[in-house]
Amino acid sequence: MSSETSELARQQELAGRVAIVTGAGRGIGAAIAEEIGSRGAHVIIADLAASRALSTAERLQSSGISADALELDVSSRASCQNTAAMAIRRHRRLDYLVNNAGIASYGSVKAMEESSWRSHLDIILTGTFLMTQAVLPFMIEKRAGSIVNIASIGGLGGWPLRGAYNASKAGVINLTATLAGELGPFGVRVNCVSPGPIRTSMAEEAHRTGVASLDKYAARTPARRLGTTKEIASVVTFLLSDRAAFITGINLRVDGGWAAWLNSEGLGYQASESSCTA
Amino acid sequence: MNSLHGKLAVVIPDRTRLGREVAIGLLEHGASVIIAGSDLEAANSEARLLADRSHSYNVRSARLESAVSDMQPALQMQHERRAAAIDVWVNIDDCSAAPSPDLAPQVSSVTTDHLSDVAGRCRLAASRMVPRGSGVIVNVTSVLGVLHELGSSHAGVQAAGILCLTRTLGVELAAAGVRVVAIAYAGISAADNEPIGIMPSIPRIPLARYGQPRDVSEAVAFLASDDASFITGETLVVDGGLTSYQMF
Repeated sequence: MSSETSELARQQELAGRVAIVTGAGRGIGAAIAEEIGSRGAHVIIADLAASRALSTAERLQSSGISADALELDVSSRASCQNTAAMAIRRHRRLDYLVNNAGIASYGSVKAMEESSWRSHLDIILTGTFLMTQAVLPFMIEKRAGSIVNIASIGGLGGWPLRGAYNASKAGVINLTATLAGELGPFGVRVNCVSPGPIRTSMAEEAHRTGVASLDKYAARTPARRLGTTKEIASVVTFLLSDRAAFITGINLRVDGGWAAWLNSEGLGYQASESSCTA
Repeated sequence: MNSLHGKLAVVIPDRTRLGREVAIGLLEHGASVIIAGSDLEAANSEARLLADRSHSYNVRSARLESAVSDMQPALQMQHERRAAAIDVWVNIDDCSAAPSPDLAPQVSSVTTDHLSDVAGRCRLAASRMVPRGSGVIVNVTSVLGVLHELGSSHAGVQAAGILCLTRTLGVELAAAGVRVVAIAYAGISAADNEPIGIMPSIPRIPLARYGQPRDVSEAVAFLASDDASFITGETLVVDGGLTSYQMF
């Protein structure tokens, strides 16, 4: 295959497919929508902020991607049901779902407001549950579909000041495996991607407010750098596609080696993160 | 998918037919392939067969000297004036080692010899990649390295050793720009229904079917490509959901 032919094959890999990406207005979600769209799929950019969804959809459309925008609150059952129904009504099919919507705030468990705990669980874990439940009747009936959930390396182990976030992400990793077992017989695959330190607006905000140092994150990463949103998007695209037809129930780390490293000498480690004073 | 154009991949096949399928997958994704093995004649004929099957001129063979004691293994390519720039190195582990109920001493030595052999090949690959600041090593092994199965202790130790080697080298070589990743597979059956590696019963596999060698070769091509540029020290499980489905 010549490089031109295979470039064409890349652009058409997902042609005719329809995908919903939640939290796609910015960051990792927007990059996922762009990558899936650049491979020929129609993408539904769903975001809590309708204006953000719209501007991302317009940006992708201007580069030739087929996309539309929807306002979606993943913590609302009605909103999830509505999003799935709209997608199916408009396009008569739904092949892929990417559960990416999330929030992150920082603070010790000791001092955490119950409302903060609940909103992490509502958006990250219950949101994944509700949106998945909304698309399942269609995917099961068609006996086809592929779902990718975005978790985090935070879901793999303890990390001070991120109790609500990490517990929610750990829930997503387990829900992925459980769903794989329930849906495999119907030809629906469910996988999970756990990003490590990625340069996003959310990470930069944490850097600005001093709860995280991106320089120290880079030093702590064996690859000695932060990942890009595109590096997450290309992995999500692989797992959604037929190239991963025999892969289900996995959690794949995309972290530059972060979680494989014991780091017993504490390189890049922030002493303040172990205290409960925040 | 345009992912491996212009890249040179070395594939070390095992006794199963997986190596051939992985090589075909890499060729289809645009890479040139070198089939290497300690038996040059076997590598030659495998390369010829691959060239015929894939209608490709991008296949060559090379002799791979085994790691003997502390000696560094070597790759001898014909007409190679200077060391070729190797972008991708795929070790395929023979997961079909004979079953044994326990770790008998002779089995242990087979296991450790095999592991040193894989480690030596990784070291050789790294010696070609680190100076250039790029490259990907893919170790293909069995899910027995993730979870244990009765009667396959040494195969499990072998596979787990390869996965640990992958994590270790992944962490050690990351700063040098070299990625080291693994694939753990199960439930793969060839076109003629011949099992490759361990075969669980169908009801144990969530997807309720067996996979094909192509499922492994696509995973290798993905990990070897820039699509996986932030993945290192990690294992990609290709098993239809077997290992994620642990209860009952």
